[in-house]
Amino acid sequence: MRIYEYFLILKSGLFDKKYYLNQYEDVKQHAKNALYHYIKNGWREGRNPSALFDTNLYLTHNPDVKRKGINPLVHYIRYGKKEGRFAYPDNSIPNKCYTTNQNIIPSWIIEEMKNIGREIDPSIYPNNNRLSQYLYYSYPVHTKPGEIYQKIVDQCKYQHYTHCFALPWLKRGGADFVALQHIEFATKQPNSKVLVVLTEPEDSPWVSRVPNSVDIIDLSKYIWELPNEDFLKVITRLLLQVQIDVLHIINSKYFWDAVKFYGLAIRNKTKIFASLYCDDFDLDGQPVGFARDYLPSCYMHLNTVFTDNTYFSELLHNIYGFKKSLFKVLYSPVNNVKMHQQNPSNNKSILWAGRLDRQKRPDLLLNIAKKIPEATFYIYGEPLLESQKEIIEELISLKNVKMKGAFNGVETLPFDTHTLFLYTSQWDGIPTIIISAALSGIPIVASSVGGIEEVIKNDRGFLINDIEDIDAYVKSIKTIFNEQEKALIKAQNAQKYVKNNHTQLSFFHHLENTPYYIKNHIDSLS
Amino acid sequence: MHKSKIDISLVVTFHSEKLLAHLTLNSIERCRKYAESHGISTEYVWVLDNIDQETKEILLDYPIDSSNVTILEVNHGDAGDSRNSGIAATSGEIIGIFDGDDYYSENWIERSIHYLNVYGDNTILHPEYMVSFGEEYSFGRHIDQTENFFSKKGLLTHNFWTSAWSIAKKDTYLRIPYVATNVKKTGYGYEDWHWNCETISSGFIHRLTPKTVGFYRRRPGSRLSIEAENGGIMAPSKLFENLNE
Repeated sequence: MRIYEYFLILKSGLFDKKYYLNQYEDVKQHAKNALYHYIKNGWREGRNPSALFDTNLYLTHNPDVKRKGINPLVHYIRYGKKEGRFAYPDNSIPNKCYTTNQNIIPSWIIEEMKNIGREIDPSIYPNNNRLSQYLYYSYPVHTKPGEIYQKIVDQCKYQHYTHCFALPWLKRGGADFVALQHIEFATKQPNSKVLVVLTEPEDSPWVSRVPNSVDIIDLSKYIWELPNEDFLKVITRLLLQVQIDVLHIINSKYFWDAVKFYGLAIRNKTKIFASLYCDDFDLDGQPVGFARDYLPSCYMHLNTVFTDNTYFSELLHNIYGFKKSLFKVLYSPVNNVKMHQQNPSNNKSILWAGRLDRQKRPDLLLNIAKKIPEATFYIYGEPLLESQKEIIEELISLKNVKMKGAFNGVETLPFDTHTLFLYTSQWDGIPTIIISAALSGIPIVASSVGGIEEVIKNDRGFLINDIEDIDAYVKSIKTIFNEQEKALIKAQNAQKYVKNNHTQLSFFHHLENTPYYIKNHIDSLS
Repeated sequence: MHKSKIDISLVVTFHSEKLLAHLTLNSIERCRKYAESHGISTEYVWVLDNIDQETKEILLDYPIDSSNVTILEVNHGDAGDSRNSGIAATSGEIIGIFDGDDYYSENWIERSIHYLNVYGDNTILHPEYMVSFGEEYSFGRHIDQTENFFSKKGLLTHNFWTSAWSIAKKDTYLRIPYVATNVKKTGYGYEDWHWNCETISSGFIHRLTPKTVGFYRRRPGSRLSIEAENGGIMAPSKLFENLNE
């Protein structure tokens, strides 16, 4: 269901819950939400949302709406009312053109059709059968997309941006951290003008980390006001009208859609880049996400796809046959963490941090914690999904678990005061948190998924190959407790690796050498 | 060819219409003769863009006084460029743009010249009504820019005038030429919609010629469906620099 439809109808006063439930006994008995029922099924079944709107009548008299298969009440609220289309059977028909009746085609047109039929092309002759087929097409004057487009353009300080970053939001997260690195790089280029657009209606606490010189436009507040197809046209028009040298998409579905449908037009003036880090997985264990949904239909429009790990780019190459040159691996930079003391101690404290959601597998954490009651588990992160509620409640109930709540970036995590860092994710690229942990020098036990192995090889930490094997985690953790000096050597190796490979200098250097990503490339290569 | 005084040049573009080209010329001839009977002098400019052999033969066989027809063969593969080429070859003060597979009401030329005089030189006229036939049967009334509900903002998502049917002063087309699109290469499409936006942003007024109608043939695989398949979108236009003005 489109949420905007729900609230649009709710606000209009044209849905009468009491009327709807009284009229339709089956809905009353089975449906949990009457308005939801009307939006999902009711209008297609010809049911009326209130005494003020006749669904079937509107569709009959507005065949253009019927042809498009859109919710007639939504159409009426957004356009039909303004256009004078009638909604209620008792209303007199204000304009006879809105019917399929043959009389509505002006008689002088019918006369002309007869003449052309006789003199030129018999197929156009308006016999009764043919006339009954004619639908009225109302040329729409829909101003809302234009109004919203203008509001967005008014927020652009410049007519020309060197870089536009399309992000869903700027939360406290790994992808957001890397997005900020890209933004920082762009702002450091000579004469750069940087625009950040946010497209999902969520909080963006890390907007505060964006440099002041960057224009930020929150597009998400307009999403509810337009159907998706119109919103897509608005953002595509923005990309076409405002000169944007580089468009970089990092997890914004709407801009992926713009490239999918209008990529050829957009790339006339704009070089398009995207960042893809890993697959997500659905409940059936099938890979899903932007790479799967968009890359096969968009790759031809993209200059470069940035990944943060070699594993994912090779996976996509192997599955789809994308050229290897499409991808560029950029190891994410981390440089500000609390450094581990690296002194052996009897302390048995385990640090776990991340979103408490399906991906990060708090259920594995729970089972590990149950098996090592002598250790204390410090859990940083906030639960995101209702489905993990029971697991989290059970975690809270364990005596050896301390729930520490949300954390504001990896730099705030106490790597310095714990014995080891535990990571139980089911899928990933190379998570920033793993790089941070490695940089801090804390021994690491991690599930071997995605690109984690690129940082935590066996001489740099403890990798769990079968990620469901609780005993393997337990064994590794106990090894660290019992053989701390050996564990610290591995941690030092990991630290050294990260210091060499995950620096901002190296990250920026790779960006500088990415064709078309900065202005001197655009000038010299185009 | 009579170049002494031409009131209106009729620019008709063809590419692969085959027999439909003949039918369309019959319809335009009907309009042209009606106009001539009202004292309006006319000429044809037929633009044959990447024409196929069959359509070309049909056009060359068409029974007409050849002294009144300029035939241009071009290889633009683009409707906008073809019209621009045709316009450059005209000698009339006024231009009418016709598509090679549509029909037009008999009075379309005569009434438009009348209303161009009434409304003024910065007017661009369209048939009052559109009737589509073939793959889809529908009809509708175009939008007159002087009507209250007209809004530039609406042009972001919809074109208000079907096809490129228009009649205006030649100077209008010279000042605002069509923009080549070539949707398969550029992703830009809808050059007529774009031309409407560009002309409006330059101060021209799109109006309707009362009691006239264009008949729009909907064919499978038409240019519009190719544009839709290729993700065509209107090229950048000055109109969208500021929709508030």
